[in-house]
This record gives sequence, structure tokens and C-alpha cells, in this order.
Amino acid sequence: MNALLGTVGLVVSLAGALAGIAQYAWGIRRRSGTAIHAAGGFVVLVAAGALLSTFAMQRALLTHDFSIAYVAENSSRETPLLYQITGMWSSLAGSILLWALVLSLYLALVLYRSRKREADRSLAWTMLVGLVVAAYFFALMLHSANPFITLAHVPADGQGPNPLLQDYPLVAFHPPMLYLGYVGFTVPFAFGISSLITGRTDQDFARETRYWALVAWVFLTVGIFLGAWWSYRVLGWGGYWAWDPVENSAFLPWLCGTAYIHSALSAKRGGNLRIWNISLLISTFSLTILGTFFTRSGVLQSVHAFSGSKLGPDLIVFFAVVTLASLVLIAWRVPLLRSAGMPALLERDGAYVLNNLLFSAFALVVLIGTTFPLLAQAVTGQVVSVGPPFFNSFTAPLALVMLFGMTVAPYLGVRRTAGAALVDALFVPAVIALVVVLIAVLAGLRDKGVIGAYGLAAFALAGNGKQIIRRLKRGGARSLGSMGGLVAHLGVAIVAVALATSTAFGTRGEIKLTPFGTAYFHGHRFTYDGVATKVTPARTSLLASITIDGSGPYHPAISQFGTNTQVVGTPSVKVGLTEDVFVTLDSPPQTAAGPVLIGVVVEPLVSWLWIGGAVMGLGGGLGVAAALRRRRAASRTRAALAEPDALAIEESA
Amino acid sequence: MAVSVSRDEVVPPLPPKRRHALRWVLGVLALAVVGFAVAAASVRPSSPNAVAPSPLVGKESPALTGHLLSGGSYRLHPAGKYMLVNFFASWCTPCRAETAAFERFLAEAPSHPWGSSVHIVGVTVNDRTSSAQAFVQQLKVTWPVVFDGSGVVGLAWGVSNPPQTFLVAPNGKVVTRIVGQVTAPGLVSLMNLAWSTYG
Amino acid sequence: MRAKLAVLALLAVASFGVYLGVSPSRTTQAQRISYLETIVKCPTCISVSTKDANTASAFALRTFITQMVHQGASNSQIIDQLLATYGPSVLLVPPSSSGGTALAGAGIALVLGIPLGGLLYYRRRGRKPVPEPPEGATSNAGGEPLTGGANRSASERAPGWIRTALGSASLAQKLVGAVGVALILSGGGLLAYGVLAKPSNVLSPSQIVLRLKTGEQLATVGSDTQALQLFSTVLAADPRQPEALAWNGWLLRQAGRKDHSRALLAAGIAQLRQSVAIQPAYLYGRLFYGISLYQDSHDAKGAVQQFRAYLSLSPPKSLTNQVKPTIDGAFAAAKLPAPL
Repeated sequence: MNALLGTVGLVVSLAGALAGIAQYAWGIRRRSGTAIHAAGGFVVLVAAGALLSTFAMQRALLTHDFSIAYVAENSSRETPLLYQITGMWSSLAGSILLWALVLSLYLALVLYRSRKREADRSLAWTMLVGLVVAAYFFALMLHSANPFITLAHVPADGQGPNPLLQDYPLVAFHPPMLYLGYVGFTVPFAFGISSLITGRTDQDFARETRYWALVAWVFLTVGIFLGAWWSYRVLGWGGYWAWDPVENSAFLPWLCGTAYIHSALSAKRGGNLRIWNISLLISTFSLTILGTFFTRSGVLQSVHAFSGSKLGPDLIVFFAVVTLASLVLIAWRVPLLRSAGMPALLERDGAYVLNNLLFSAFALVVLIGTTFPLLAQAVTGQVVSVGPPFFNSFTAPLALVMLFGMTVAPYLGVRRTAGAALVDALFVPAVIALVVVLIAVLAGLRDKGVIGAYGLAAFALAGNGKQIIRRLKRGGARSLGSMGGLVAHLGVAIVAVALATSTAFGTRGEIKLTPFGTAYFHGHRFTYDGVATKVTPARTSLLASITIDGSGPYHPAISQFGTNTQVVGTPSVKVGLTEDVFVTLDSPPQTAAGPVLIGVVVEPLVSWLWIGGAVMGLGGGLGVAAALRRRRAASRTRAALAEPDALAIEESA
Repeated sequence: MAVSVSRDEVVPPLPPKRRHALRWVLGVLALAVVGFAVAAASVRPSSPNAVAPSPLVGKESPALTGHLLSGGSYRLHPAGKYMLVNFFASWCTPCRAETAAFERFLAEAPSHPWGSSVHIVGVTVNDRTSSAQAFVQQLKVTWPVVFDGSGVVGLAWGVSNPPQTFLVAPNGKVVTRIVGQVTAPGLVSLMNLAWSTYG
Repeated sequence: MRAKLAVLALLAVASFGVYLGVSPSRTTQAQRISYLETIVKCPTCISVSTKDANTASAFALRTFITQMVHQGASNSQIIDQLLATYGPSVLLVPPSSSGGTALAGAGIALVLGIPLGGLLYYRRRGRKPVPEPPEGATSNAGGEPLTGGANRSASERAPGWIRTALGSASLAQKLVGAVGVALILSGGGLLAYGVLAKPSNVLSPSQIVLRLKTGEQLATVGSDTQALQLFSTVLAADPRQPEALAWNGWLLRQAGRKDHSRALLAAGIAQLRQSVAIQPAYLYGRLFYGISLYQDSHDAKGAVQQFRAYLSLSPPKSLTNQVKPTIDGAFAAAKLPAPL
């Protein structure tokens, strides 16, 4: 029943997407607004089909319908309710379903947002491109990643999700957020392709494109930080970012998308910024497909990948087709996109060009590092690994230059700004930065990267903070909407400080404790009060009871989930604003009175990583809110549309 | 220094007669994408349990010297003999089952032409002397067992998690490495294969 | 302005001076150990260095690195020794022999080349004059103009079914029409899907037998990967081939146990179960499923049932001897006397 319902949903969506493509194409060919309007019905149908499939999947998960192979593999009778629901994105086929659902809802939203506008060719092309992508994913599900395959012999109980996916409730938020961002970049991509085809280059369309990119960016940013947080709380080695292929796959589109939301603000579109913008949008989307290939084909080894799948060839072909088609379109439209006006470095558009160059270099370094094992294996057949040492040493200099740039750029005018005026405006932030550097050096810090990060983060905090205060003074609280970018920059600076500090000053070690014994590690006092076994239907845990500096108890554990024989370590963290103390149960006691081995990681300022991420998300949210308000104002007074540049400039880089 | 808010003229597109170096860039990019896609598609998904072949295979075997659990010292000296070097630990469950497989293999060996020229040596890694001794006594291990307390031998052979077994040919070259539990028929097939190659 | 620049320069020089003055000129042993631990991967982990991992193998490598450094070995000596035994994948930065130089070169070229090259390019281009725009070329606000809903000439030339959907009908009627069209298409789609989902690659019976034989041999000598490849080609041709299901399931299950991969384990067990259901008289199917029931599902009773079926199929002695401990264990767990 559920399988049938789900499959019907998939087929309806696929058919709806194909019919919608045909109808939009027909409407474009006939130049018929009515036909284009009517094609919207198919978009709604696609969303309805995806919702039906999702409903069927959730129903199957919640009613333990183990006749569906996916449910039998990713849920069990013992699985708690929350993890039954999250079972939908516990493995491949369900994740693709989530992807398709998010995409079809996005398309329906685009349609809803444009309901009052005249149906024109550019909207039709946008929807058509979106539907092509949607059709691909629905076809993928019906072809090689079907979540509704049934089992001939229905098992009495399922296997339950991967133990790591039922250890911490963040798994309910991180993947959906990530997908909202990841998939969301399909919409600006569709807008971009549409503008290439129709030759639309006006501000109104560009601003709509950027709005959707900003929405996706906020979700992707929050999703990536939630993912880091999840790794930190679950994987048990005290790290949050390992430059793992799966992490890079989310980070690469983020880099291109971030470059785009800056570059799209350019006022004059000199310096070929139109070509930049469209290329960045296309790269962002292509990289989401490529990232899916990395994570789902099993060609790269990852801590997060569960197992290889048959999707590799399908995905790489789609990636190649999308990228090649986009390149051909750009080549065709070069005369329209190109402009001769080259900005000076000390003006706003010059800063955007530099921004694009830096982000592109950053993304290419990450891309080369991620794909190198793949290329090496294809060329030489050797298995190699590329890890943090490579990525850190090549991206850190770029990141430092970016910290500098994001402080100076908000002070640049649309026209060339005099160097003297810049020195004037940035004097106080620069003094603060240099004093921080001096203090750091005097305190005995020797790592150039960390010193640079502290100095430039201080510069960025002071510079962007000063700009925020200035604008607040001038415009009051109402101007808050126009400073999303500045707020996001503050978040980046906070993240930089937290990253540098936790990497440079984190220490790890192991302590051996006998019951009621006390040990000291790095200035912290640990007391061990014994172990207890906790049995619930879902899991059996051996919990150690540890008091850290008199507070607690904290319970690092070793858990075994359901019938799964694999045991996983569950860390416990004493969270603090200045320092986290992270404990793991490395070796359980042999007897009740025996000694226990506790792994300890002391990491300073880790909490600020999450705070910084939240501030970045908040900045993006302010930008989205400002765009929404502007739109409402614009629809009230049509005249406002005639002054696009004034508004774009208020919004900071 | 104030942010000047002014409306700048939009820079127009150029007349199309300019040469477009950019198209060349795009062409190169397109070639790169195709090349990358072909390379990526040609890589087989690494089987989840695939282990990269040991770099030692085909090379002179590393040194194996150490104290025997039964007392005395040991030095690997394969001249004229096939040596099966088995890395194990008392805490490892498959290693326990493996011991029986080696027993059966030794029992079956005499019926094969290579029967008299194959020897086994065990190496315990990441282990305690007492538990290793208990293991050897309990399972009645008959072949010499080297105790690698410092982990130096394991590192020299590139062993990260037991059980792993190396076959060293009479000429001192490493023939193969088996990662994970061995089986008696597997070892017999392996020896047949090695015998037909190395004699 | 000058005064401000002077203050900044003073602060910068002071910091730099202090940095140079206090900075030790030689790296200490502890720094070297820390560096080596950062670039050496924990052999049993993915993406995690020996410094960060808390596995036994990482511990052993940390000990090794510390000992070697204290014995006076150079960084390259230590790295070379690790490369010789573990291969290039033990380093988190590929060694130069495995393309490390190319990677580092590419990294430097990207980090320096893109920003600097881009800026140079823009400086060179920036001096050229901007031509005046032709009238009206500035922007193309709405795309090309469209005929609105009032103009029927387009829809009148449309095929019949689309004309019905678009013509002068009300929006509700159009929606109903669209849904109807989609449902018809869906029906066709379901049908097409059903037809297309039939297996396409065909193997002759003799090919299947040959592949099964070779696969079994490969599996017994431990070449699991090649064996799996063979079995999966058989299964692609005939997804219900019981012998291939049994072996493929068994190998997947073994791999799942080894890698702690729940997904592999589940896939393997499902295939074993299917194999027994399709061909109850296949010796290995019974045996493998029995072992799996006992070891994975801890279902001793079910395992005993499978083992009894297996023993009734008069298995070869050597095979039974190999699995005797497991069979005995299962019977003991089910509180039954050992059958052998």
C-alpha cells in the first residue's frame, strides 16, 4: 500500500515535470502568456506528487511497514519516534526523495512569488530549467535509487538506522537544513540560465535571482554549521571539520554561492561582473551535483559515506551535461554579457572582482584537494589521501586576505575612493588589530597563521562594527535591514577566532581513573564515580559517571543500538563559553572496581564557532528580510523599481 | 570618506565584433569538464572492504626479530622455506577462530608437495604478555609466537589492525598479504598458487 | 594622515621586531613530533590524523614517531619508513612520489596565480576607453514581449488537447484539465516503468555456471572484491539466482561485519534469506544463512533449523569440519545436543 502510494507519487511527479516542460516549451514557442500560466498547474502537480511520496515514506516508517526494503534497512520497532522520522534521510534513496521534495516545493514557491507578475518568457524558462532538474531526480529514483522497492519476504523487524544517526537529535535538523540550502541553489541557477537564454539583464530580474540565492545561502550556512556541530558531538574525536569529501561537497557550493551573493550586488556591472555572476551561479549548481557524486558514488573514502551506490555514472553524466550546456550558453551570450568598463581596485566593483578571484581560488584549491585522490587513482592506480595539512596550508592565506578584504570593502564607495579617506576611516580598527597582534606576540604566540587570524579578525570585528554603528546612527534601527552583510562579516570574524584558537590551543590526552579517584588534566579536575548500564529498547549503553571541576556528572558512554552488533562511543561535553571539555569512554573497566580510561579533549572557544555560525545566518536572514520588504515597497510604488542602484548599494558587501 | 550613493550609468554590452578570448577560456573549461567526467567515471567505486595492496608485496620482507613468548629470541630467516607470518592479538575474536584454521592447514599440508617447506610464525601486537600467554596456552598454539610489546615489528610490516597474515617466499620476498581471518582451504589454494610460481 | 600611517607602521614594526626577537630559530623535538603526527593518517581511520584519532593503530604510530624522533631519525627517514610499509595513503599530504609535487604546485599556482593574475588582467584592461552605448541596448527588461491571454491566435494553432486546456475555459477547468492530462501520463509512465524495469542484460546458463564456479574459488582464496564483481554480474542478469544470492549475500555480510557497515550487513542478510527461500536445497545457502542467523541475529533456534537442513544435504566433510565450532555453538545456545 505505502509502496504503491509512494511509487504513484513519484510517477505523477515525473509525468507532471515532463508535461510541464512540454507545456512551458510550447508556451515559449507560441509566446502565449496563458499557456505559460496554465503550465504552473504542472509545477503544483510535481509538488503534490513529491508530497504524496514523502507522506507514503513517513507513513511506512511510522507504521513499521517492513515490506519496503528502505524501511527495513533504516528503521526498526525499537527505534525512537524522532529517529523513525529522520530515517527518511538516513540513507541514499530516502535522501534523494528529500532532495526531490525540497526542489519541487522551491519551484512551487517561485511560482507563488511570481503569481501577480505577467507571465513572461523568462519566468517560463526559469520554471522549465527547474523542472528539468526535478525530472532528472524523479527519474533517478524510479531508475536506480528507488526508495519504494519492496521485499518478497517481509522481515519481522527492521535493521534500524546507522548507530551514528540515532545518537544525537541534531540529525533531525542538519540534513534538512543542508538540503534546503544545497537544493535551493537550483532556483538561482534556473534564473541564471533563463537570463542567458532570454537575454534579460535588467536589475529586477537580477535582484530576484539574488533573493533566491540568499535564501539558499542562509540555509546552507546554517546546515554546514549544524553538520560541524553534529560531527563534534557524535564522531567522538573532538573535531568538527576534517576536510572530508562529504564536508567539502557542501563547502564548495557554499564558496561559489557566497562569491555570487557579493558579486551580484555590484553597482555598475563593469569588469565583466555579469559573466562572473552567471558563472558563479552555474558553478554553484554544478558543484552540488558533483558533490552528490562524490558522496554517493563511493569513489572517495569518507567518514560520512555509508556505502557506495550505483548512482555514480548517472550523476557524473548529469554533471557533465549541465556544465557543458551552461558553458555553451555563456559562450553564445558573451557579446551581451561582456562589458569594457574595468573598475579600479579602490572602488566597490573592484572589491567585487577581488572577492570573486579570492573565492574562486579558494574553491579551486578545495576542489583540487578533494578530487586529487580520484585523479591519482585514475591515472596511476595508487591510493592516496589528501587531508587537513594540505587544505589548511593552502586555504589559510586566502582566508586571511578575505578577512582583510571584507573589512575594507564596506568602506569603498561606488566611485573610486581615495586611499587617504580609507586610512582615515579604518585607522581605529587598524590600531586595534595591530595592538592585538602585538599582545599575541608578546604573549609568546609563534604560529604566523594564528597571529594573522587574531589580528585580521580583530580588524574585521572593529571595522564592520564601526560601519554598523555609523549606519545605525544615521538611519536608526530601520537601517538594520541594510546591514545583513556587515552582520554576517562579524560572524565570519568570530568563526575565524574560534577556529584558530580551538585548533592551536586544543589539547588531548587520556587519563586513567579508579572509582572515586581524581585526576588532573590541563587544569581540570576529573572524578570518576563508577559505571552504570542503561538499557532501553533502542539501545544498551555503558555510562561512565565523570565529574569535571565539581560540576556534572557527565556521562561518556559506549552504546550498542538495537540488534546491531556495532558499538559506538558517545562523547559527553562540558560546554562553556571559554572552553569545552570533551570526554570519551576509551576503555571500559574490566570489573566494577577496575580502572577506566577516559579520553579528554580540552578545546577553547569551540562554542563561539556555533555562535559565529548563528551570527552569519542572522546576517543572511537580515538580507532576506530586507529583500522582502523592498519587494513589498516596490509593488506599492512601481516607481521605486526605477531606482535599483540606490537600494543595491545600501546593502553592504 | 562617505559612501557615495549615486546612480551610475549601466555599462553597456560591447558591440559584438570584438574578439572573444573568453570563448577560448570556456572551450578549455569544457574540455577540462569532459576530461574530469571521463576520469571520474572510469574509477570503480572502491569496494567498501577493499584494502590497498601492501607496498611490501614483491619486496624483501622487513626484519622480524623479537622475544618469543616461550622464552628465547627469534629471527625470521626464510632461506629455503615458506613463512606464514601471522599478526594477531589475544583480544581479537577472528584471531581466535584463525588459530583453528592454521591447525587444519598444518594437518592438511603434508599431503601437498610444499608440505614440508612451510612454517608459521605468530606475532602478537597491541597485547599484554599475560593475556597473550593465556591465549597461546588455551588454544594450544604449536608454532613460535613473537611478542611485539613495543609495536615495532607491526609497524615495520605495516600492520594496523590484526589479524593480518603475510606469506614470505623462500627467497625472502613477500608474496602476499591477507587482511582479516584466513581459512584453511584459502591457505592451501594460496600455497598451491605460490608453489606453482616460486617452486 | 601621515601621523596615522606612522602610528600604524610603528605598531607593525614593534610586533614584527618582538616576533623576530623572541622566536626560536630551531624547531624542538616536540614540534617535530607534533608535525609528523599531524601529517600521518591514522591507518584505520578516514581523514583523521594520528594526532587526533584515539584508535589503537594511531596510538602505535604515535609511539613509533616519538621513539624515532628521540632516536635521532630525520623527518624524511620516518616518513620513508612509513611509506614503505603502509603505502602512500598513510600520509595526509601525498608524497612527491605519488603526485604530491603536482598537487602542491597546483595549490601554489591557484593561491597566487588566480588573485594576482586576475588583478593584473583587470589593471591592463581597465585603461581602455568605454564606448558609448547604442540607444536601448542598456537593458532588456522583460525579455521579448509576449502576447497576453487576450490574444488567442497562438492557442488556436495548438494541438487539440492543449487547446482544450487553454482555450476560453475558466482557470478551474484548466486545472482540472491539467491534472487529467498528468494522470493519463502517469498511467502511461507506470506502464512504461513496468516494462522498462525488466532485466536487460542476459547471460547464457553456461556463462552463469562458469561465473559461479570462478566466483566461489575467488571467494575461498579471499579475493572477495573480484568474487563480488562476478556474483553481481550474475545477479544483474538473474536477480533470483539462488547460488549467486547466497555467495553474494555472504560476502556482503562478511564485508559488513568487518567494516561495521550496517547497510552492507543488512543487504547481505537479505540476500541470504532470499537465497534460502528460493532454493531450500542449496547447501551453502543453508550454511551461510544459519551462520548469519546465529552470529548476526543471535537467533540460535533459527540457526539450528538451517544447520539441520544443511547437514541433511550431505555436505563434504572438510567443509563441515571448518564450521563445526559455529554449528556446535548454535546448538549449545539453543540448549540442544551437538549434532556432530
